[in-house]
Amino acid sequence: MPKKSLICALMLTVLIANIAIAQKSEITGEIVVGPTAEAITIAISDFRMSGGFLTSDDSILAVNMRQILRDDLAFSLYFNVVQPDSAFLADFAGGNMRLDDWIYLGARMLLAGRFEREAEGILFTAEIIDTYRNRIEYSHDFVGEPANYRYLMHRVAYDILYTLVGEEGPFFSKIAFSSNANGNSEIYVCDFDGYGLTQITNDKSINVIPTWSIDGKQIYFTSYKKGNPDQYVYNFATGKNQTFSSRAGLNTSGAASPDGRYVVGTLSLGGDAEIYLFDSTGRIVKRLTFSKMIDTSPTWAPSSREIAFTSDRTGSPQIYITDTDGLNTRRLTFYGEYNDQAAWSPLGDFIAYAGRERDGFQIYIIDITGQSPRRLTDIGSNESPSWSPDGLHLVYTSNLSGEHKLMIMDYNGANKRRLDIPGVCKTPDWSRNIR
Amino acid sequence: MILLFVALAFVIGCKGRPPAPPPEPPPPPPAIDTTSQIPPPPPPPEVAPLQLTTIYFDYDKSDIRADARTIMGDNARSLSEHPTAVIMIEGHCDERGTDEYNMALGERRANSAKNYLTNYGIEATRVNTISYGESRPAAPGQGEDVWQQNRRAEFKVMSE
Repeated sequence: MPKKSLICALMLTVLIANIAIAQKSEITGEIVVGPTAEAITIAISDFRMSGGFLTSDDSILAVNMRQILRDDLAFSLYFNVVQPDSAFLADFAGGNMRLDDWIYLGARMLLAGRFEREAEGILFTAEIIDTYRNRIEYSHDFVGEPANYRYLMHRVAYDILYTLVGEEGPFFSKIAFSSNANGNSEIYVCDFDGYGLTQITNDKSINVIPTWSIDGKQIYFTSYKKGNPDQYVYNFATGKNQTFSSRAGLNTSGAASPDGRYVVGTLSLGGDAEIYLFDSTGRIVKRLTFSKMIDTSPTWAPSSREIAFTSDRTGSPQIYITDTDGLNTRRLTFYGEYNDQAAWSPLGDFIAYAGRERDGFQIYIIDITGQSPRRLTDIGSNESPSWSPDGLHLVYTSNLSGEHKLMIMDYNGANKRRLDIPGVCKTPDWSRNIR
Repeated sequence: MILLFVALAFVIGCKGRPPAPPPEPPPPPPAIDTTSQIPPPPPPPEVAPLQLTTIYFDYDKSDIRADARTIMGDNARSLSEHPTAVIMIEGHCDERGTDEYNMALGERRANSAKNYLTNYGIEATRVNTISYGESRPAAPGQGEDVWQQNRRAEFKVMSE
């Protein structure tokens, strides 16, 4: 199969590159995290209407769809989307495209999109041609609603990434967070790219610290709507909240285990904050921490066998790791006087956290042996990191613009960009891909 | 004329009736009645309405500072003068520090103030606590002056 030969060629390149990186890292001790394959250089031609001229509405749609697909493929980090946009060169539909022009631009692959309007909605065809071999490597049809063309393009991006690279990307994931855009702190969600903003709570009390269930069908959060900071769970199917834990004192920081069996969270029961393991109904299974100090902000290892959390048991907040039976607790962070908000990468090897420097916080990643903390931000105060489901991006908050806003960056601190969401935004939590 | 009237009344009153038994002496008035009949005394020494004073904390700390100890002494005395009063202590933090940690820190500040009061002899059942973390700052903005105003425990009277 031609597809296989292409992938083989790519894999060989990747293998060689990885060996080079691995050798380098052994010598320098440098952190290696990132895409598991070399980026594919790809160009995207203008999207066309099958067999006809575009109306003005359709040409806007064509431009928007192409932009989304382009952003998605670039965001995956497995594609290097070629600039400039010399798409006029490609007359893919007409059949007289000169591949040499694309090769000249550096494009190993060329993606052409065409669409037509049908009764069921938009029929979109994506084709990818290998410019070196002059061979179609990928061709697939998609049908979607015109009003939901963003989702249609996310589906295309997912399919291309999965077919060519074998990765799933973050295109069906969402981000939950709190914002005071309407005057009070309420819970919101948006798509991974900041679009599709939806308000989840509207009780005009204080709603904070949302986290996703593993299937993305529920959100745990803390609300003061009955006075005490109690833990609730919001169900997307019913649009209703249920009380998860309303014990005396704090009920916060609920986080579902990756295997879906437990929820870990913080209770104070009128004393100091400690970490507890709950079943999915909010019954306490086990108490995990016993220090007389603050223990909070738990995050699960992808294996569901360990939990990282914050404790100030030595006098200042640091990050610790414990097994889920509460044993084998060990300190992870030793650099810096105040380290908090651990977020365990879904790939398992790294923990992101916020470390205080002077009056602000910065985002770090550290490997789970506690080696080589590496700072990813440097201006303003940056807090609350949370990993994308592919482990290649972090969402966090930054006060660079004066008040805390959601930001997204790559695993290595590159491509920082602000999501355009109103209000002071706090404690984002990135879901898995939601189907 | 008056004499005549009195005499007449006397005659009517005596006419043909057995002498009425002497009326029962009125029951001794309850003590409270005697006081109610004299002009009300000046109100008993005024107990001022319960007012408790906010205390402030150092950064990432929840121990009661020296300056706050004086205030807490006054707060405890006021509470003992209002033996039925029930209060809520709200623990707050400045915006630095992360949301979850600050919720726990605010709780610890509120508990720290509560412990001071219970050590003084105030019943624990009269003292409730809640943490708002950094979600309800007293002062907007940034800078140490602002942050200091926000690192606090406030005392709300729920009933006197």
